[in-house]
Amino acid sequence: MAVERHAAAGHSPMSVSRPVPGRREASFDRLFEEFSSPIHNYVLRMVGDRDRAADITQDTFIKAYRKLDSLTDDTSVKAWLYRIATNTAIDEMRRRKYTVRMDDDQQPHSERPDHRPGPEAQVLSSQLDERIQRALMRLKPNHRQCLLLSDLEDMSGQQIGQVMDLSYGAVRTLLCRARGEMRRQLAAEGLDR
Amino acid sequence: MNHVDELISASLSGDLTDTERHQLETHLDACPRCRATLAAFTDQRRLVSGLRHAPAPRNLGARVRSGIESGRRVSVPWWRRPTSLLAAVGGVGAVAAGAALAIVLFNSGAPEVASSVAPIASSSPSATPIPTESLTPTPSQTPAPTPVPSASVVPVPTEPAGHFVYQLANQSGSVHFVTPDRDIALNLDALGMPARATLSPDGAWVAFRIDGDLSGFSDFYVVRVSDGVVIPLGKSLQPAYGLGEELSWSPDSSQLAYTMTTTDSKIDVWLFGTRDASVQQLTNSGDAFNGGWADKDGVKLWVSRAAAQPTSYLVQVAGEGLTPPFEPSTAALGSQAGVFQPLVSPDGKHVIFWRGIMGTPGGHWSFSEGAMPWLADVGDNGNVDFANARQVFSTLAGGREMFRGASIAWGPDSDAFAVWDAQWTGVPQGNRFPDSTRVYFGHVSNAALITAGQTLDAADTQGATQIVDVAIGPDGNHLALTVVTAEGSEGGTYGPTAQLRLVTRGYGTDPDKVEIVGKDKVWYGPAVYGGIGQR
Repeated sequence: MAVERHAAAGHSPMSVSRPVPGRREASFDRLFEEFSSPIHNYVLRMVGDRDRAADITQDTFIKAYRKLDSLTDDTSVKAWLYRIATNTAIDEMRRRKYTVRMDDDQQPHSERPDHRPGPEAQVLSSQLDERIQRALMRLKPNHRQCLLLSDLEDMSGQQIGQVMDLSYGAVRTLLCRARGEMRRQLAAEGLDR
Repeated sequence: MNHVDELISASLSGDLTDTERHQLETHLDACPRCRATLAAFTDQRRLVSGLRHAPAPRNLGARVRSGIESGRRVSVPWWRRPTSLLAAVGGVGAVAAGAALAIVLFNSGAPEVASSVAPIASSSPSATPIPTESLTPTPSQTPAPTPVPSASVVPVPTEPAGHFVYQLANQSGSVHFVTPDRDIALNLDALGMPARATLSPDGAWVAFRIDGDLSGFSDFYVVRVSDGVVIPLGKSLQPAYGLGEELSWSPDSSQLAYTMTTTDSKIDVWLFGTRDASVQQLTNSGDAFNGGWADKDGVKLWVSRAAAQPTSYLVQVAGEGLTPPFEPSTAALGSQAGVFQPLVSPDGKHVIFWRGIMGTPGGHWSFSEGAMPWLADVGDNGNVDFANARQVFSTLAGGREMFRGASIAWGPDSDAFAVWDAQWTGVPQGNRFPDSTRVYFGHVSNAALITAGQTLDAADTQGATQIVDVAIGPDGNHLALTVVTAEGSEGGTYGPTAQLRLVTRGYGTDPDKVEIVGKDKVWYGPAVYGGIGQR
């Protein structure tokens, strides 16, 4: 059986020029224009709440602006920005409900899997989306983060390592664990094969 | 999780070398299970990548610009900040930098999985700082701090001999081990929440585990109580469902057995020797968990290999012709199929162990079917009577229902034992029994062992979102619970808070007496019982 390589897609990590003196504002504007939407989408999937995602995205770009001078020629802009977003999201999650365990018994009702049989409308995209999101929200934060960076953001293992500050080997292990756990959570949502 | 699963996972993002891809394709041709895994992972990637793209709020740009111009800056929480306090104490190191460095050291193998089958096992502990000669205790240097009356005139202590405190001050963290007469600031390589601790029987050493929060790693240490010298034992992926958490001291305090998991999911048993402060890898099978010691001299250790049908080996850890690390069966004095992680009572007369089918459903070894803890007696000849073992949760049906895991601790009296963090996957009985946020307290002498009636009072764990650790006092009537309470204080600005709850069991219908040690912004616990520096 052939194993297909997944074609690289999405944003080029080097597509935004690094800031140079006197061009700070222009560089930041380009950064915002290119990445605000994908960063917001990524954060939304991390935290599962629109208002919080908007706040975190806002804070991410404020931090990015202030740290713009720390970008070097060796820095992947995309990894750098996603790292800021990831850390900001994790900090926010930790502040909010660090100690709340995400097992079934303790989830808010709205996050519990819905096993009720339903009409075909159940599989409408919006509901499918919700079930996938519920499965994501039951993952450990680092599993969710790793999985989203890979499957939603289409990052390579090396890029994920840059974002998460992990070695390539550690990313592969973490990602495999995340996929295993996600498989179980999707099954709990009736989305297994 | 196995190596092939990892290759399958990596294949989805094109992260395989040609050699690995060929290896995987060859394997897939012959393995329906892995083909199913590939199909499931591929579906999963399709589902996640197909999630609807939610547009950013239209006013996001204005909000960002406003934030920049107003000078508002999001407060950076303590765990992200380099700290002056930590810098001042040198060896503790900057948290983030230290943790990152540790991970780099830990993953010093090549980035190719195929060529890094066991880089961690060989590099991690040897890469961790081993104490210098001046720190190595010798018999003459071994502390005997204060004269202690003989045991016959010492009342049984009802208070813990010490406990951990993880405190935030000036937005930096520090870990202390606090005894009734001392407060020892620990010089650690990594900071996080102390999660498990055990005192050596001679009272000279405390072994403990620090859980990094979102990193997924745990750091193991021992601290010499007499002078606060800390010896790092290694860094491990955090165990799944309580498996692999056991820190087992030999009765003569010469050896500590513990289990570590490498980033490539190789799980092996390690030993720390107190006589020469040595750290040694005992097993190399990649699927081995330590149980308890079966003798008083730190020679015979239960080691369990995870498998669909796990097997426990009574391993001789040292002897002629034995050169660790080894595959457990090569040093086995005996073995028992279907038994996992036998935990031996302090007097050596009882064993609590697991039976159940194991698998790697979440990418790591855990129970997948029929898992239950059992209690067996040990005969005068030292043989464990596994055949006549009793189910610890005597009223649960078993079968396909099971515990995904649970934490278990013996009391020093070898009669009492506690079970907590019990992850029951079956249908709970009335009153949510078993419940992962309650503590179950059984006695060997009570034939019922654990039923719903052996649950600690609800008030003992009121408000707890997680039971981190339970220590039982020598009289079998006092417990120290480390419980995570509500989210961090001050609107969650600070990290998690844990309380140490000292419980005195009430008799009959009398409620338990609970004394809470804890305050905002502080993580209290775990605690240890016993006598510090008994000899």
